[in-house]
Order: sequence, then structure tokens, then C-alpha cells
Amino acid sequence: MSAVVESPVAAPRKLSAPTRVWRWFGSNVLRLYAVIAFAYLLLPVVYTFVFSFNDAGKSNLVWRGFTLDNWLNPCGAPEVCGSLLNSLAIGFIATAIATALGTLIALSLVRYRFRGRSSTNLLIFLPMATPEVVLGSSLLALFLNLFVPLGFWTIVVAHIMFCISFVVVTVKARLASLDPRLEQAAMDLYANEREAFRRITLPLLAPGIAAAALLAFSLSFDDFIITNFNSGQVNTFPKFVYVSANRGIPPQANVIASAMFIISLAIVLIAQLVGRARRKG
Amino acid sequence: MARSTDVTQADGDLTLTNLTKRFGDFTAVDDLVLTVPQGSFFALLGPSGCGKTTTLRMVAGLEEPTAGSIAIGDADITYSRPYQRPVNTVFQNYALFPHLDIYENVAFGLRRRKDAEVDRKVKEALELVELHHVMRRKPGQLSGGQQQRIALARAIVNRPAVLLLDEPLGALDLKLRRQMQLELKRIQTEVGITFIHVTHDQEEAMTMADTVAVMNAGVIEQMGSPIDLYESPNTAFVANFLGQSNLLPATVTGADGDDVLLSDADGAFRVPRARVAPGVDVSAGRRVLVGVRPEKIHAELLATAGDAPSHGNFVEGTVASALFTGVSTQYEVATRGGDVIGVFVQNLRPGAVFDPGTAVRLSWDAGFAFILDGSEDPNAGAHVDDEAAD
Repeated sequence: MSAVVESPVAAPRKLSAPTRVWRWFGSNVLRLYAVIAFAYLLLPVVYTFVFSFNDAGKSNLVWRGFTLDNWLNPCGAPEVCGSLLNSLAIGFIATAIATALGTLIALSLVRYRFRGRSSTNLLIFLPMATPEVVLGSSLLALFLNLFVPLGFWTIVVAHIMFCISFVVVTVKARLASLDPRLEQAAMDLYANEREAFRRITLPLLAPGIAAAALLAFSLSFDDFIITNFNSGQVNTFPKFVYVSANRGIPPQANVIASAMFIISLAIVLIAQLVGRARRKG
Repeated sequence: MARSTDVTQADGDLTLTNLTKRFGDFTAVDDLVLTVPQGSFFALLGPSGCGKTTTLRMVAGLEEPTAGSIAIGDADITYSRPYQRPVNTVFQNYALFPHLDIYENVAFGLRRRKDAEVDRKVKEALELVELHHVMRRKPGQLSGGQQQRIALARAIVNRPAVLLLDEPLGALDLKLRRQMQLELKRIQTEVGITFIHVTHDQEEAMTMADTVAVMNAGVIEQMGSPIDLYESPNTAFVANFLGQSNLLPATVTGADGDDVLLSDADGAFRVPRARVAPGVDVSAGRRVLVGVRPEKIHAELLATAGDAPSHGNFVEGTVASALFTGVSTQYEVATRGGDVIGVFVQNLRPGAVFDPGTAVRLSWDAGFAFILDGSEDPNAGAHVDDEAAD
């Protein structure tokens, strides 16, 4: 605990009560602010987590007592797990494709000079700046005009579309900090183009690509607006939660949301620990 | 796509023939002709932007020449890919692979070539640079000097026909740089590989290299041993870039035996004919530059000086500034004829420094002066940018 540092020469022994309160407040105001900010950020998460243990009846709005049933049987409510599996499948496919394409785009934008390079750079930002409602509705119009039946694969296409931008931006940032002389040094040391890419560029780019993939997955898993326009009859987890909000979200949804939170927290923690161990070793 | 030939086994002298590199309108390297004998320590010396790094990158294969050819022994490597030539580079910023440990960094080239004795060779190379104990560390955990030596080991372990060093000591502090200069020289003597060292530091080039080529604006101004270049510069650029020179405009008045006679506003001089730069016309009436190195000049107090020396190479003037540097004192003397001459005087005795305003006589042995073409700028190469970046 850091106390107020008092000058040993001039400090009076006794302070008046208001002065002491004021001093305490002055030295702790930042801490107080941090606590309030975190409370504000985490309150909904805590609420979700607590209510995943609610012995809910029809709706999960009022606390009716503690139970582990929801956690023991997360697929208990209709459609919870079906929509979750859909979201996971869409997330994985969209992430894989968007990460691969986005990485290649980032590489070409950073490494090569070609006609239309700067306009491509700008256009990549466009999907991020455009409101999702606009993206979703125009994509829907496109699918309808082309007579593409809405469903699982239209969701995948939509997700790839908006994930690519984020992948490009993330990978580009990593690439920009990568010294091109490393690749030249590899070629100087008898590695041909493919080997230099595989042994030097790719490993050094890996953290950026991984970050981009995680970002893409969470964006895809989380997306409601664009999905809602282009999903047809297929249900995803966000869509399920949104629709069921009218008649009461089942506590199983809280279980899945809490589990997602815990899993991502665990991933971050593991990454931190591995990073620290690697820096030491 | 250019022709490419795999000649990683080539061996012999490095020959550059009419090598030219243009970037748009800018000619970085202009019709360069150069032979570097096998096993020599060769320095390419020049200011930033003189084309030395571009030349190096063309030899490494990282830049494609606009015209001309590069050969090692009989093998033409002009259009070979970087990984197809028996050439390795020590990069300016070392370019060690940050995700690989020191051992794998050094082993990289051997592994690509499927060498059968990776372990022995890597350990030998690390032994050579005295860093075998950091084998399992990452480059980021090493000091600048250690990284530099690892970069050297990583290149040398492949026993290339030619080793290129691109300002390898630029990022080190002065003391470490001096130490690494000796180290590099020792290693080169030990392994006998051709070293081509690119630098803008004239002292570095002179202390290490057998042969120095001074490069300026894409062409080689002069090439030779450090002593030859220093004592007998052929151009004003070389005279000023390597150390310092006093270049005094003078007119040829005639000849006396083996000496050329000259005069300027300060009087008459003589310089042996052997000290005239090649191609300079010294017939009577010609304008030339007479060069004398500051440390070759003898300065004495005019008040107590005896008769003027009989060889005639002297001027009189007053001390304009005195800079005490410890080993020597550097004076600028304004001559009666209007020139400013730099003089270095060794501090042999304490308290013998001339104050500004003192009248002095400067004299030098005729054999220490040299004659350059009179059309040259006497200040060429004197104040070039000293930055390491190229």
C-alpha cells in the first residue's frame, strides 16, 4: 500500500479530520475509479454467470434458488445446442478461410508495389466502417437476386466477408514490424523463396495470424445483425438468444455464455504463461 | 525472369565487369570494373550514397545489375539467385533470426545445404568467435557486440568463396569497434576467405584491409594499399576523405631535374616528379593543386626560427586557431598569401602550444607533398556526411 509520502521536516504531527479524509481520497481516487470501471464492465458477465445457476422456471429473470442442473445438462433447453453447434461450425469455417485469404492480402499489400495497391488498402477498411445493417441487407439483396437459397453457407460467406478486413489489418500490423532483411538473410543462407517463407516469415508472422484468427472467430461467433439477414431458417447461437429473449432466455444459454467466457479467459491466461516461460527459457 | 545458375561451389577471384545499376534516373553504380583477389581483405570505402552498398547487394544477389557481369573464378553469377551463390553476407543490423536460438541461427545455412557435419561446424564457428557458451540463447538476449559476432559466425560457417560485410561495426560503440576490427582481421587471416568490407569509416578501412577502393558517386576513385592511398592520393576526394589534406592551388613554373617547380601567393615550392598524380599535366603555366598532409608539416616560431630552409618549401603566417587534442595540437594557420593550412604538431614537450596570433613558419620536405589536377575542387570529400546509413 502506498501512503502519502510526508516530508520529514515540515510535516505537522496532527492533521485535521477533513484534511486526512481528503488526503486519503487523493491517494486512492485512481484505485477507486479502477474498481468502478471494472464493476461496470464485468457486472453483466457476473450476472450471466450467477443466473446460469438459477433454478429457473419459465423465465430466467427472477432468482428461484441454486441448482447445478443447467451446467450438468446444458442441452436441456430446445435448440440451445443445435444453434451453438451451427455457430461453432460457421465460426471455424469462416475463420479458416478469412484468415488464409486475409493473410495473403496483407502479404501482397505490404510486400509488393502494384497498381491499385493504395485503393485496395482503402477498400479493405470499408466493411469495417460500414454499418452492419447496411452490409447485411445489401448482401441479402444480392443473394436474393442471384437466387441463392439462404442458409448455413450464406452465413459462412457473409462472415468471411466481414472477417477478412480485420484479418488483413491485424496481419499487416505484424508484417510491417517484420524486417524484410530477415528474409534476405535467409536467402543469403541458401534458403530458396519457399524455405525462407516457411522457416522465417511464417513463424515470425504466426502470432499475428493467430491473433487475427481469434479475432475473426469471436467476430463470427458473436455476429447477429448480418447473420439475421442472411440465415434463412438456420439458427445460430446469437440469433437463438435474441429470438428467445421475447419468451425468456433459458438458463442453459447463460451456461454456454459463461463457459465461453471462462474458455477465452483460460486461453488468454495460457498464452500469457507460455509467453512468460518462453521469455525466461 | 533472368537466367539463374546454381554455382554454390564456385571458387576464385571475384570479378566485376562494367557493373552498372540504375534506379530510375539515378545511377548508383557506374560501369564498375574491379577484381578482388581470392583470400584478400578488401574494403569498399565511401560516403553515404556512393554506391558501395548497392555494389555489395549485387554481389550478394539481392539486387539485379542493370548492366555488366559478376563472376567468381570462371563462374558467372550475375543472375544467380542469392541462395545459388557461394557468397554470404554479414548484414548491417545483423539480421539474426529472432525466433531461432544461436545454434540454429548458425546452423541455418548448413541445414539448407544438407551438410553432413552440422554440429561440428556450428560448434567450431562459435568457438572461432568465442561464443560457444551462448549456443542456446535467443539473439535478443545477446549484446550488440555478441550479435555481431554471431552474424559473422553464421556467415563464415558456410565457408563461402566471398564474405560480404555491410558496415558490420556501425552499430557498435568506439571501443568495441576497435576490438572487433582486430577480431575480424584475425578471423580473416585464420579462415582465408575473401572478405569484402563496405564502410564509410576510413580508419576502419585502413586498419583492416589489404586493399582499399575509395568509391564516390558510383565510381572507384582510387584503389590500392592503405599506405599508397594515404601517401599518394590521386584525386582531391581521396586526399580529403582519407585523413585530411591541405590542397593549395599553385602554378607550375618549370622543372629542375626530377623536381617540378611551382609558385603561389606564398612563394615558390618544389615537388618530385614521382609525386605527381597520374595523368596530371605539369608543363609550365599549368594550374595544379599542391597537397601536403597536416602531420607532415613542421611548424616553428617565426621569431626564433633560423634562416629559411634551402629546399624552399615553406610558408609564413599566423596561427588562427589551436585545438589541443592530447596526443597532438591541431592548428589552422592563415598564410600571408591568403591560404589556410592545417598543421598537426605532436605534443612532444608540455607547454609548447602556440597561441592564436603567433607568427609561425611552416615547412615540409619536398618528398611529402603531392600534385593533383588543378581543375579539381580542393574541398571534394572534405565534409561528406559521416552517417552510417546508406
